[in-house]
Amino acid sequence: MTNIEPDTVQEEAEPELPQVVQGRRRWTKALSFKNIGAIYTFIVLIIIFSFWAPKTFPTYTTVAQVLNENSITGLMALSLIIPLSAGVFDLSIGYSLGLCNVLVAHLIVGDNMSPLVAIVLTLVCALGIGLLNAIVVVVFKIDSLIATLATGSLLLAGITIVAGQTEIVGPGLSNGVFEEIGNLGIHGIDLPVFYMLVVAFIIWFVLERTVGGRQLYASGYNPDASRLAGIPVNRLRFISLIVSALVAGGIAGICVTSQIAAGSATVGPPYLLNAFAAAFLGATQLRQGRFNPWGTLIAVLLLGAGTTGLALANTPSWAPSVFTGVVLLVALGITRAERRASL
Amino acid sequence: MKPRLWLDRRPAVQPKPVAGRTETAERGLRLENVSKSFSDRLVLRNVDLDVQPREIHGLVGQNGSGKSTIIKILAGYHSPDEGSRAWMHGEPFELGSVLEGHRIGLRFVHQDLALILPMSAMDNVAMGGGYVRGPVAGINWEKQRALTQKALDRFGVSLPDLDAPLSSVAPVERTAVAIVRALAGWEEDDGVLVLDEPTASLPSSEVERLHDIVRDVSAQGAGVIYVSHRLDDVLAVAHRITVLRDGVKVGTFARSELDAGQLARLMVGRRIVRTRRPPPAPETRQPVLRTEGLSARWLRGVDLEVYRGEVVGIAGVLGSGREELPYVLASSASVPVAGRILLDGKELPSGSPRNAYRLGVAFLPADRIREASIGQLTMRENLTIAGLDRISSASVINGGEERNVVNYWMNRVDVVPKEPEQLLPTFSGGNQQKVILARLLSLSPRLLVLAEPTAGVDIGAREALYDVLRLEVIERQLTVIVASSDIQDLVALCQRIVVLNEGHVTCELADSEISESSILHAMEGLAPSELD
Repeated sequence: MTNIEPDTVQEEAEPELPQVVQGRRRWTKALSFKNIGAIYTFIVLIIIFSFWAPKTFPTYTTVAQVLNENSITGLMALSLIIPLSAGVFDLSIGYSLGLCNVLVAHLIVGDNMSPLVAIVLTLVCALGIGLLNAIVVVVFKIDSLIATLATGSLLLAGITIVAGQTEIVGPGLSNGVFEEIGNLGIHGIDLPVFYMLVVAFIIWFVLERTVGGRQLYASGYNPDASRLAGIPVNRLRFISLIVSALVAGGIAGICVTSQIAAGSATVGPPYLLNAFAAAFLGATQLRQGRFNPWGTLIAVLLLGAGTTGLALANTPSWAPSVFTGVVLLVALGITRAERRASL
Repeated sequence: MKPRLWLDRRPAVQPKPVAGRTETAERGLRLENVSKSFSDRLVLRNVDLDVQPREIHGLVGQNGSGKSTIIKILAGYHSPDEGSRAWMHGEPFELGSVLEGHRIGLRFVHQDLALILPMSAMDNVAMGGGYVRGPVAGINWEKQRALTQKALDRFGVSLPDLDAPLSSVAPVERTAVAIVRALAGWEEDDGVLVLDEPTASLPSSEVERLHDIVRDVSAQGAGVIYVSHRLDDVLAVAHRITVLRDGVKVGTFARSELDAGQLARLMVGRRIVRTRRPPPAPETRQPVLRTEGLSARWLRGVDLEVYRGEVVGIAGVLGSGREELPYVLASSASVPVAGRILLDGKELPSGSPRNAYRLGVAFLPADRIREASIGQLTMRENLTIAGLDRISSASVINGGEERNVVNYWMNRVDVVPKEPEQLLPTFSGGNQQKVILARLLSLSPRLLVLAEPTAGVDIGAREALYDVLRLEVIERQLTVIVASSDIQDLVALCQRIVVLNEGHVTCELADSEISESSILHAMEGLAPSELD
């Protein structure tokens, strides 16, 4: 005799909780400190700075300034989301940005190219950087942390070859179409802010709504299980490194060149750490430990607003660094503690 | 040396209470009234337990019975609720503290052993007891070696090379090193060693050696708490057995009072029905899978034919190729494979799990945590991850369809609780396995290949998994290959069993010939005529 009763097993889904209860539960969860702690911190921060620097901080100018100043960092942090989700590091993004910065400046100023041609060639260069990283990491199977550190060093050599020790400046950069890419604005908010939002939206859509996005997360969390479940882990990782180079080098690189109207060897590398900080802080927000674009943007703006506020409040010049460090440690510490408590 | 004394709850002669202290002559570990609740959910209710010196005390229960909770309380990971009390050798101690537990002589070997595999036995043992220092600084390797050798000798363990990384030694030897490490620096031998699922990752051929080691440990004076979900395992080694169910102690029984059936009933609380389905009708004899001369690291030319609607078992001892064959069939082997695999007559290229899935082979790997579950994804995401193509258009996932698929399968395989948005590891082992199985079944595969389908799954859930598979076989003519070191799996599910020996098919058992003893005999390479 079998103890299977097909009739009971085949039954359709049993009635679920009433929609209202489910909805309420979802909202309490969505609004918990654990989920959006950075937003609460953000609000507290705004209140503090509004009292501390009442004339300068709570103004539209400051809002626009924070957005504009952090759009490149935002793009850089976003460029990391896809590879980090797939479980690979790209430490070369700072140098990708740097190389594309001096390259597009050199092509326009040194070679007198039209901005369009220069931009296309720069995008091709970014694609090349992505391919290099992808081949080294995926085909030659070198650990991504080391591999992209090494390719970053090669890119640094490229930066020095193109720019030397001088800063590339010229009318082609500070006038006309190219200048508008990074500086044209709507009500004081520059175009790169909108690029950043568009990129964030695309990444969000890919990660949350598409087959590739779901598989990307799976590959990052458990590559062995993903491979055995028929997911093309290597292909996803390959693509993810091309995406990071295109976003960091191509989009952010061209924007930053237009914003500062110059190409210089010193531009790229400092973005690396801030981008990583924001990506990891962003992962603690909204999606319970998953790298995600909106959490990342919240993190970028939280860190950016704090830094700007401290500057407006005339604090010493070391204060912003302390602020960034403390916010990161506290945020990651709280997340860790909560995760332990929930076990 | 047969232990009898501790079959009674108290020593035969009750010592007279001395002023201020009672039962000074009491030896061993005693727990009383231990409860544990997690935010209003009571997972352990008023459990008593006592472990005498020289006793091997089996602790059994299904997932969710409170078995792991009590171990975690002893290990100091959880603090018990108010009112829980504990004594070691008559001296009260505080539960829920790692240091306190260590001080009074509790030692643990957890399921994953927590060894550092790239390092040697010497280094691993030194992690427990510390290194022997040299005269000035550094480590006195001579003495360290002698010390390690001595510690291993005590339990009759011999390693060919103390300097070899542990990754190169047999699993049972790793377990032995983990035990020796846990006991390092434990001179008096009168504490209690807790072994949590020590045989979970051991091939059945090595279980007996582990039992010998455990008996040695207890013979030298220690009490042993032996946690296992394999009933034959506990019955073979334990003197007394405590059964937990739903957070409550069912009872403590002397080994002699129990057999496997009774023990299973005590754990489950209901009678287990074992059934198999008859083989499919002959008119459907169209081979779904055919292999020709499959060879890999262990396999030495395996020819198989598997028919539609058939459940074929693969049996064999460790090293027979039984572990390797399912990976090879699912194109998931990490070594080069020779020979041909034909699925519905089409050749399956080797080395690409993705291609195997495309052609209709769904595969359940042996190690759920490492190879199947994706811990940071939710139950819903885990369930649909292999079949996203079926619920998406132009690579965009259709959320409504995904929910339908999840609801359907969640109910069909009966995952509990029905919370698709919870992360997979929050479910019990058996329910995780159901989710992974649902992931595969939702692909409507031509061929389902299972490796160790019930590893780390308790009895009740095991039956449920069998039922799920039987249902698919009956209703959908699913073709299944089950490779398992657990003979129960094979007996419960299979209509035909292929036995491997040293990489060759040495024997095939038809439906009517299948029994635990016939499989065991065939695995050991005995002729059927030697069967009684």
